[in-house]
This record gives sequence, C-alpha cells and structure tokens, in this order.
Amino acid sequence: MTALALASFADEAAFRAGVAKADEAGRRVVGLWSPYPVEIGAIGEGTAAPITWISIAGGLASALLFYGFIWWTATQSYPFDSGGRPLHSWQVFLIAPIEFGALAAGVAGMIAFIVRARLTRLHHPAFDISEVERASSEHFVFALACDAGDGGAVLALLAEAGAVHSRIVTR
Amino acid sequence: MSDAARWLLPSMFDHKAITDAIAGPLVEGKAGKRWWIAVLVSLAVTGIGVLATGISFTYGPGMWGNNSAVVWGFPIANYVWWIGIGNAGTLISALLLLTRQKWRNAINRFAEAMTILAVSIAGLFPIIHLGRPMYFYWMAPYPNTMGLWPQWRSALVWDFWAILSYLLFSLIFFYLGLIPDLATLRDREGPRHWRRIWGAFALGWQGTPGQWRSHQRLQRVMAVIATPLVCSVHSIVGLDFAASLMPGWTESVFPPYFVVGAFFSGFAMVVLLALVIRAALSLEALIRPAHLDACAKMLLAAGSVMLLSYGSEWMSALWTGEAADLRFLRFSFTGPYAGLTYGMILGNCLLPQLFWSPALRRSVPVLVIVSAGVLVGMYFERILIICNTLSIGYEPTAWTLYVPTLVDFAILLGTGGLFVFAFLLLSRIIPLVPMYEIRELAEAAKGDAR
Amino acid sequence: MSSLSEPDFVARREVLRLIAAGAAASLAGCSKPDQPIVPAVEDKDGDRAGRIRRYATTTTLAGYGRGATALVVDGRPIKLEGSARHPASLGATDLFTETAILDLYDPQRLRAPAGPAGIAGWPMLERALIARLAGSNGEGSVLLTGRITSPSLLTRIAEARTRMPGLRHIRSEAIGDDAEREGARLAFGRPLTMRPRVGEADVLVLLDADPLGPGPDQVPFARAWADRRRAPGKPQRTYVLEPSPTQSGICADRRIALHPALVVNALLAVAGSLGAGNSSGADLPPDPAALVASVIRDLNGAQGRAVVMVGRGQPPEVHALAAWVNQRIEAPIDWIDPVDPDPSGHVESLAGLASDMAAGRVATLMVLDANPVLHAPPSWHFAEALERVPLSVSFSAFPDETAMATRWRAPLAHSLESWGDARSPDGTASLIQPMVKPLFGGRGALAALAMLDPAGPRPSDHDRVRHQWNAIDDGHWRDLLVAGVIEGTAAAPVPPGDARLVMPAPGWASAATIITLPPSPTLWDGRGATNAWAQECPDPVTRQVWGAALRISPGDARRLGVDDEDLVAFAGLSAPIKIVEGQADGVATLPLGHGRTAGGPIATAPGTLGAGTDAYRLRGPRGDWLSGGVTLVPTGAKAHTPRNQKDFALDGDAASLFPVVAPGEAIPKPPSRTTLLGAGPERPPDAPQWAMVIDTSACIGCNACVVACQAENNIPAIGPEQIGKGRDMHWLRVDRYEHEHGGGYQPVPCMQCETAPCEPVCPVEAPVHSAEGLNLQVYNRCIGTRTCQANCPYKVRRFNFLDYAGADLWGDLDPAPVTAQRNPDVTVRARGVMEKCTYCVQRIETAKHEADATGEALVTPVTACQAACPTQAIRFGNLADPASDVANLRRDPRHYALLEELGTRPRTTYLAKVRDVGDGEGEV
Repeated sequence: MTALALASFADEAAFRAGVAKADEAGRRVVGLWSPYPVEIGAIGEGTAAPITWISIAGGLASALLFYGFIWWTATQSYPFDSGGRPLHSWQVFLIAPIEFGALAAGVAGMIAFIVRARLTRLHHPAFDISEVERASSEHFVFALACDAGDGGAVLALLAEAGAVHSRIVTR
Repeated sequence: MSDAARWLLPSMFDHKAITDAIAGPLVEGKAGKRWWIAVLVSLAVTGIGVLATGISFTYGPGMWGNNSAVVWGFPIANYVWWIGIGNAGTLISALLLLTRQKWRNAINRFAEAMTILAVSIAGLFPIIHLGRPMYFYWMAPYPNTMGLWPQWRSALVWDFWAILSYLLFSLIFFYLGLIPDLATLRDREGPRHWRRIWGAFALGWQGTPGQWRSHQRLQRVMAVIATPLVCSVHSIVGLDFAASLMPGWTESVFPPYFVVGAFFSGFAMVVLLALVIRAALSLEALIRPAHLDACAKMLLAAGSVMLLSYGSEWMSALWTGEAADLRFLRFSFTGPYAGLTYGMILGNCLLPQLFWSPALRRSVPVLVIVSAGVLVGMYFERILIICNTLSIGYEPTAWTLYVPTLVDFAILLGTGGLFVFAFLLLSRIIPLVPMYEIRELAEAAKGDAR
Repeated sequence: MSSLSEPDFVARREVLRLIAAGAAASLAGCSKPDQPIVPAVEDKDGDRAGRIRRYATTTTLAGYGRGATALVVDGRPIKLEGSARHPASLGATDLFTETAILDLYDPQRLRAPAGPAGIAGWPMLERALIARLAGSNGEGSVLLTGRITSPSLLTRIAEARTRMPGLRHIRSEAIGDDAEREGARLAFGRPLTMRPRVGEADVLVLLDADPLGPGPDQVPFARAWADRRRAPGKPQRTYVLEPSPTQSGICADRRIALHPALVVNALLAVAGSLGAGNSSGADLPPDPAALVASVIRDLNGAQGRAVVMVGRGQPPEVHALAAWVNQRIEAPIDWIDPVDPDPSGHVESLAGLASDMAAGRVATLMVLDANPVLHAPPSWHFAEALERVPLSVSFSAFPDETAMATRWRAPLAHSLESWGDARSPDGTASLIQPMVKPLFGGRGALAALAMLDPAGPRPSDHDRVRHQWNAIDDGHWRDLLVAGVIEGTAAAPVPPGDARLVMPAPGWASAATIITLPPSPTLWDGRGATNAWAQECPDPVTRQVWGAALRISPGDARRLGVDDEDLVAFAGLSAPIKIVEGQADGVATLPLGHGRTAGGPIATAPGTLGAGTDAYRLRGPRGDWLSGGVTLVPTGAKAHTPRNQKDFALDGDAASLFPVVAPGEAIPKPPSRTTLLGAGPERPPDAPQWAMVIDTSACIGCNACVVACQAENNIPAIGPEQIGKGRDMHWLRVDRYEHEHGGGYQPVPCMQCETAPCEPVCPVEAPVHSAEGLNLQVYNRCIGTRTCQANCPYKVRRFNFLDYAGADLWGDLDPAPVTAQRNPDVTVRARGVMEKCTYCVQRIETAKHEADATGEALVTPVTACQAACPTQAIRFGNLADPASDVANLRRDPRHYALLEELGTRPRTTYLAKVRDVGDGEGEV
C-alpha cells in the first residue's frame, strides 16, 4: 500500500532545497508543480527539442507546398498574359509562401507543444490534489512516493526542508 | 539598485500579491463606473463608424473624397496606420524576449493584445475600401467556376497573406503566453462559469517542469519566427506602394522605412496604453518609471531613424534630379498638403527629440503628448504617401487634389472606438500583465535585493 | 359659355389620350416610320436582331446640313457617324452631330402641345390656328425661323405665301453671318459667301477668326487644313491675331493676343503693304506689329497661296477690306451665292419683328425651331413684345425660353424622326431620313408648316421631300436615300468681280474693358445646353464643364486682384473668373449659350451658374458680338467652376509629354533600356496586333472623339458636382498643353501598354491582356480595389464611384428613354467597377465575326473616336501588318510614345506637334 507525500514551498529557493533533500534521502520525486518555469536537474519529462524541428519542418513544408500551388495555378491550371510578365514570375511568387510558411511553422509548433506537454487533459488526477491548484499561483509543490508506514519520517524530512505545508495522501 | 529590482516594487515580491494585483481586477472584481462610461463612449463612437461604413456600402465609395486621380484615400491610409500600430506588440514580446529584456514582462501581454486588435481592425480596411466589398473573398484562392486563381503578382494578394499569417500567428503567440495565467485564474477563487471557461482554455495546464520546458521552447521558437515575420509584413505593406512605378512610391527605402514607421507608431500606442492601464488598474508597482524610460528611449531611437529615412528620400530625389521626383518634393513642401508634411516632421521627428532629457522620459504628460504626436504624425505620413503621389502623377493634366469627407473621418473615428471598446472588454477577462513572468521577475528581484 | 368650357372638356380628353399615347410610346419604344426607309448597306438576310444597320441621313447646325450615318439596332438609332459622301462631313462628325443622338432620347423633350389652358392636343392647336388663319391672306401672321437651307421647307413656305401673301417669313439665326454678307456686299456689291480653298494656302492669316472652332464649316475646313499641313513639301503656316485663345489660336504656328478693336489696324497694315495706301492712326502694340510684319513678309512671298480670314465679330468694312486684300494676293478662294437665300440680315429682321410685335402689328406668330427670347439683344425686350401677340406658338424640341414665352408650345420632332433635307455650307443638298417614329409625339418642320397653312394640300412630309427632288420612280428615290447626298447640288463658284477698296477707320482700344461673345464650342448658340453630354464636354480652352466663366488676362486679373473662380459683377451679370494665358489685356470673353433660364433640368442644372453667365445679355442693340465697355467688380464671393483639367503648363522635363518640333525636325529616339523583366507568354503569330497613332499636329481639340466614345461605349454623364469632386468618366480625354515651344491638344485614350502596369497589380485579375495586344478590363470580375488606376501612369482608367449608369441628371423626369440609346454590344458598368478604353473591342469583334461569316480577310475596324475625328488625327490598325497605317506612322520621324522611359511600351503612340514659327521668337 503506497502513499504520496505532498509538500508545498513558498519560494523557489526553499523548493529547490526541499527537492534536493528528498533526493539525498533517496525519496523518489513523482511530481513537480511550479508557478513559473523552474529547472531542477533531470527531474520531469524529457527534452523539448523536437518542438523546434517540428515547427521548422512544418513551416518549410507548407511554404514549399504553397509555392508549388502558386506555380501550378499560374503556369498550369490557368496561364494567361498579365502585363506581359513571365508566367512563372518566381521573384514575386516567393512572397506569399514565405508569409504562409511562418504561420504554418507557428501552427505546427503549437500542435507539437500541445502533444508534448500532454495538454487538453482537463481531468487529470493531479487536479484532485488541492496543492496543485495553488501551484499555479503562489506555491511550489512536489510529491514523493512513500509507504504508508514511514509517513511520519517523510513529513519530518519535509518540514525540516522548509515546506510551508505537507501531508500524506494514501490511496 | 540592482537590475531586476528596477522593474518591480518590493510590494510585488510576494507571489500572492502579484496574483491578486493582476488577477484581482478581472471579472471577479467589480467593474468601476469609469469602466462602464468608457465602454459606453467607445461603443457610441464605434456606432458612428458603423453608420458611416453602412452609408459607404449603401451608396458606394463616392461617399468618400477619392477621385479619378487619387483613387485611394483614407481607407488605405487607415489600413497602413493600424497595421503599423499592430507591429509593436509582437516585436516587443519577440525581440525583447530574444534579447532577454526583463522589463518586457510588464508590458508585453497588453502590447500583444493591442497587436491583435489593431491588425484585426487593419484587416477590415482592404475590404471596406473595395468598390464591391461583397466580393472581397475573390482574393482568396478557392476552386471556382471561372477556374481563376488570385493574381500572385499583386501586392494586394501579398497583403492578404501577410495580414492573415501575421494575425493568426500573433494570436497563437498571444495564446501560448496566456495558458499558464489562464491556469492561475482557473485555480483561483472566482465566478464558477468564468473559471470553467478559463479552465477550458488553460487546456489542463499544470505547471510541471516538462510543460514549462515545452512552453519556454515554443515561445523562443515563435519569437525567432515572429521577428522576421513582423518585418516582412510591414515590408509588404511598403511594397503595396514601392512595387509600382509612380513617382514618390518607387522607393527602395520603403520596406525598411515602413517597418521602422510601424514599430514607431506601435510603440507610441504601447506607451499610451501603458499609462492608461497603469492608472486604471493601479499597477504602478508593476509598470515603473524605468519602463516608461525604456519606451521613451525606443521612441527617441525610432524617431531619429524616421528623420534619417525621410532625409534619405528627399536627398535621393535631389541627387537623381529626376524631374518628377523633384516636382514631387517641391509639392510636398510647398504644395497644398505642405501643412501635413510639416505636421508629420514635427510629430515623428522633432517631438521625440525631447526624450534626450531623462527627466522628460519619465514625465507622464510629456510621454502622452509625444506619443499622441507620433500617432498623429504617422497618420499624416500615411495619408501623404497616398495623396502626394496620386495628386501629382506623371500627367499634369490629371492632377487633382484630395479632400476627405465626413464619412471618411467617421470611419476612421469608428475604428478608434472599436479598438478602445475591444480593449476594455479584454481588460476584464484576461490578465493584461503576464503573472508567471512577473513571478519570475520577482524571484530575481528578491535575489538581487538580498 | 360652352365655347369656354369646351376646350377644357376637350383638353381633359386630350390629356387622357396623350397620357395613354405617351405611355405607349415609352413602352413600345421605337417603331419604324410608315414609309419604307432604305439602309445604305443592303444585307441579304434582312434585319438580323442585334445587327447594326447604317442609314444615311443629315443633321443640321445653324440650319446647314451635315451628312450623317445613323447606326440603328433593332429599330433604335444608337449613334450618329459621318457620311463620307457629304462635303461637310467627309465621314467625320463634330461635337454637335455626336450629341444629337442623346437629344433624340432626352426625357426633357416636349411631349405634347400646351396652350393657355395647359396640356392640350394637336387637334386643339390646329383648331386654334385655323380659327385665326382660315380664309385670311395671312396678314399680320409671321413665321419666325432660324436659317433655313432646306429646299423642301423653302418650297413649302413659298407655297404657303402664295396662298397667304400677307404671311411674313422672318429668318434670324442666333449666330448669323451679317457681317460677312455685308462685307461682301460692300466689296462686290452683292452678298457672296467666301469659300477658301485651304488646301492651296501656304499662309493662313486669321484675324479674330476661328475656322477651326465650332460651326457648320468646322469639319471640312479642319480636314483641308490638316491635310495641307500633313502634305509633304512646303510647310503651311497659320497666323492668328485674336482677343482670346480659340482652337485656331491654340493650333496656330504663330499667334498673338490682340484687342478686337485693333484687328482692323493689323489688316490696314497688311492692306497698306499691298498698295491700299497708308492710313494714319492705325497703330499696333509692338508685339502684334512685329507679327504683322512677318505676316506681310510671308504674304508677299505667297502670291496666290495665302488666305486672310476675318472673324464674325468684326464689322463689315473689315470683311470688305479682307476681300480686297485676298483679291490682291490672288488668294485661293471660291465665292458662291449664299446658300441661305434670304437676303435680309439676321439681326435687323428680328429687330423689325420685335418692334412690330411691340406695336401690336403681329397677330399670329409661329416660331419654328428658334429661340429669339434667348438670343435677342436685351434692349429689345423681345419677351415683353411677344406678350402682345394674341396667338403665338413655338415649335421646339425643348421647353426653351421662347417656348415658355409663347402662348402655345408644340413638340418639334428630332431630325431622326422626320423627313426633310438641308444644304451644306457649300450648297450640297442631302436628305434627312427618319429612323424612328416621333418618340414623344412631335411633328417635323414640314408638318408644322402645314398647320400654318391649313388651306394647303396635305401630302405627307415624305411625299413632299420626294417630290422636291422629283424622284418619280422608286429606284431613283431609293438611290437618293441610299446615298443621302444629292450629287451635283454644290453651289458653283461665281466670278465676284473686282473688289472695291473699302478703308475702314482705324480702331483704338477703349479704356473700359469690353467682352467678346463667341459661340460656345460645346453648346454652340445655347442649343447644346439641354444636352448632358455637351454640358459635360470640357471647353477646348478652359476645360470647364457644366457652365461658363469670364475669361480675362493674367494682367487684368492682377489689376483687379481676382483669381480663378472669384465672382465678378458686370453689366447686370455675375460670372466666375477664369484667368487665361494669351487673353488680350482689357478684353474679357464670355462664351454664348450658357446660363440658360429655361430648357429643362440639364440646361439649368445647379452648378451651371444660372443667368449670371448668359452672354446674350451683353449684346448691344445692334446685336454685335462685343459688349460695350463694362467695369468688372469683384464681389468677394466665389463660384465653383468644375473643370477636368487644372494645369496646362508643362515645365522642364514634363515638356517631353508634348514635344513640339519644327517642320522636318525629328524626335530623338530614347535610348532603349535593358530590362530585368523576363519575356511574357508569346502571342499567336497570326493574331492582329492592334495599335493607335494619334497625330497631335492634326488635333484641333474639337472633342468630337470624346463624345463619340461616350455614345459608343455607354459612358454616363455624371453631373457637375461629381466632376467638381475630381471624378470624370470620359474614357478619352483631350489634354491641352502650353509650354515655351507652343501648345496644342493631345487626345489620351488608354495606352493599351504591352507591359501594362495595371494588369499584374489587380488581385482578382480583372485586367487581362488579349492575344491581340488589348488591355482588357473584365467588368464583372472587378471588385474595385482601384489599384490599377493608382498604378496607371497615364491615369486613363475610370471608376464608378457611384451608380453612374443609373444616375439621374434629369431631375424628376424619368431617365428611362436615355437607356434606349445604349449600345447593346457594350456592357453597362455597375457601381464600384473600374472601366476604361477598349479600342472599341466590340467593333473589333464584329469585324472578326464578319470575316468569319464571309470567309474574307479581316477588315480593319474603325474605332468610334477615329471615325469621328474631323482631321483624321486618330489612326487605328494592325501593327502586325507592316503595310498598315499605324505601322507606317510608327516609322514617322515625329513618332513618340508617352512616358516611354517607364517601359510600359504603349500601343497608343503619338506624332509630335509641328509648329512652323519661321522667324518668330516662339511667342505663344
């Protein structure tokens, strides 16, 4: 029967210290919530690098597709004389695709972000934990896995680490 | 006094205080009487614009001052002006983010909001100005019975894509930054249904390190894309004119010069908004004199660049000695529009020079006057770009002056009202200052303070 | 009692009948006349729907006929063109023939006779006349007409007078030729008409004369003049001495402003040099004197090859002296007996009538197509005198001043609605063939006369005309109708005998300002004032539309401290000022025919400035074309004078828009620039490549092309205040330029650029380029971004800012009839749509269809403007055919393109204006 120890900290420094302490004590941090970006070592889900590549790829691909489309409409689908200009006026055909590519890159990036950040989960179990709610405004919160047995020790550890509030939840 | 602390009062060092200061005034708090009055006034003004637009749609563009030679008038000037204002927001968030300017935090959110509103309004004008507005969608590529596609060589089509991309991109960028704050609102005590809405838009944000990492990453990526995008958009607006063969329009300097001009007017608007919001939401703790000072420096720099680009334009005319260009130059300084020309120089180039003095950079009245001056000056510039060239083209026999009508003014006024109205609504439902970034700042400030 | 109530009763019946008839007329639209009319071109397959058929007919100006061809579609005449066989048309038209078609459909036209008891019917009018004339010998009855050259009409009048000896026919044309006639009488003892053979003149001296200006003789004179100047060999030199710039002055090689009173001195100097003896006191200011000196020099060298012409405004003695001078220099001139047989003077006969009426000696007055109340000198109080005529009736197309003053007014049929004939200024007779039954129930002149002569026999007008030309057998009659012109009717030149030397007294410029009163180039004597196209046609000198302004010299303006559009008061009038370069000091000019007080909503449209600009009010009691001395009093007020060209002066490089060269001089070809622009899609090799070349040297600024284009292409008139806003719809504009090398006219249609700047900028591809080089505008694709016009260096595109096609300039009158004039081959443009010159693509397509149908080679189509041009300044054709006109003209050393340096490669190009200043120091 496992339990979860939840600790809330008032500021970043204490939070970092707490996490460090728990680490030393060999406790496994199973969740971290902060009101603004806080980087703590390797803890938390993996890298975000793919977002960059997806975004760039999405942008480039769309721009190329768009240029292809323009080329097709102007020279294949319905070619006609407009002011004696070349049918394939590539210099000016470049402009719209560039703009569109930028937009597409943004969209691709956004999608990548949503997927990677596992968003659109409006009913995540974490939301049942009241601490997490406060983590979006003022508290820094982390959760340790522990057995129901040594709850007291964990709470002591957390208190010593400077948690403004901590408790054990069992399921 | 250390760096971060310059941008924040100690009263804001506590995260709770930040949240309350920023989230407090939203729907949970009562909308003051001032807000209601502002809403009603702006609605009334918007109504005038809607009426004027209705008149134009009913009787035709003949209701405006446009004529056979000056076929473009206020609507196009309005378009260029608004899209210019729409420039600053994204630039501030993107450029200052990339250059890690801490002070951007206090202003970037409402600057972005401003961008979206301004660009949306700007987007209306290419439609309003049409002779047959009901067919505006013919500019979009869609399979049709005629088998026709848009004219990709037309600067107006470039515009179409530029505005569209810019608007949607800015919207995404804006929303991205908003997500964590929406989560804050969701989790805060407040009206249930609003919390549901915020919650829905917060997409289930928790603030775990992984989410933050992705969030930060995408923000940087988009910032990197946004910066050139903004420039390209305004360059394309410049190309509307530069990619022609009319004297005074065929200027290779136009694209960069439009970008600077846009940035310029945009920043002026940001300053005005900052002052208003600061007073209205009493955010003096967040929007510090240092912020105003920084914006003022921006205006000073941009104003000087404007002076340079005007100068280069005039000099190039003098150097080339092209008769048409010279006549054009003489016309703009001695012709019937000369007043506008001098007004433009005053507002865009001379007034900002006041900001060489640090005291004036922090004086609210001066900031108001100069920013207003810049906005007016930039409008003069827009209208001059159109009227000067079209009034005196190559054929002297076709020379005609342009005189706007009441309807023209009413439409311009109306869009102003619309802008204010929309902004007032936004100010009640989204935090106009990004809370999570202020928290970060506060943390840093605390660190410095110790 | 019953006698009183009866007309009322009848009236009511009549009114109902009329309303019904009117409704029917407007519904049924146009129906063919009863008698068969014969198309000039017979087509095998009969009347194909929508097929344009051409009929020969005649239009009149000041009573003279000008041959015309009516273009008729499904029974609707839609346009008038010239008739190549007619000496006063030569296939071309003038402004007045072009505008005539709109008169036909004008909603302002009278629709029913109206009498003292209000709207009445023809029977009532007839009854009224019979009551007065039946059995009488016409004593106390007067027929007042304008100039009549129509043989049938003259016969008819003579016939009536045999029955009614007492009937007087008084002929008085508003713009008469009294001075010319009187001059001839002084010189030769009898009235003769001067017909210069301009083609043989190396030197042309115009003293206050404007033969290139408006008038019945404009077209043939201008053609001969232009042909002579085009011809290789010795250049022709035109001198003009005149008080105010006219088309002749603007087109002259050397022109100088001269006070009208001093013109006689110039002629005296010339005469003196030819042995007339020196007359003391005939001095001239230095500049004119210098010009006269070179005139004399040229005349000496041009025995038998020079002509001196004197203007209508000059007194008879000056005309007489000119006749003598012309004889001394053996000028190439034909003298003919007047085509208008009436020996009496226009002014004096009308004056006589006025006094007779005032004295109550006139019992019955029938005014036939004349408007004396407008043009009679005010001191005669013509209208008041008219009051005293018990029975007066005016036959008129429009409710003009006279029609409103007479007790009765009756609708006069349009010349396209009635049978008749007329003589051209050289005597050639041509037939007037109706194209439609009277649309508004009017009656032709012959029918009207029949009412004056109730006792007479009543053959139909058609029969009368046919009888006049004793066309006994149908074949002959048919041939006459096909030709329209009756061969061999031109007046033969008569030997005038030796001209008596009449020495007029030298003149001196009075201290007080005098005002010259020329006919309006757009409204002629005021007739045009009811015509929206004429009103909207820019004046060739001031480019003003919808009204007149008082023209004064820059010097006088400075002295008065006034500027353009300042209202000045003078002699009971008040008119806005227009400062005109080249106006003589101390002389103001106010064209006739403006400021009408009646005639309908167009003539009296707001913005036409009202009676304040009615120049006729300035006529002296002797009806001269000069006012007495007046003083101009600035009122401080301003009046808007809409003009669709503000600036004439070309400074510096802009002069390259309108280069002026000496005879034989060539235009330097601009260096061909390399372009980064890739080549466009290649055009099919067999497609014709349309192009136009316009010879600015031949253009006399008559505006015939402008209105021809308007009529052909369904271009609406938009009214004064739209023009005042700087909007105009003319696809073709005639620019006027002035610069130190001289001025002139430049018609500017669309340039049809090969690399059109307007095409690629349109987001929806409304402008496209045809394989034949046409720059086409697809109206129903246009969404009205106006980017094309913004980017057009020539500013030749026109935008429908409002619903102009549906615009109603006719007040509360239903404009529906006007739509019947529209050309079915041309789209009527909607609001918010850009439009432009198409090179008359509908005519090109018709020509191609013909070629397909007949299997013969494509006949090069003729554009509307080209067809109209009196001087053939506009040539259109296929550039791909090296033998074509345009291809040849493009090789002309004078050839140039507008704004060539922009690389737009226009298809419409120009020949530079030639100006032969000789020893003149380029004075303009």
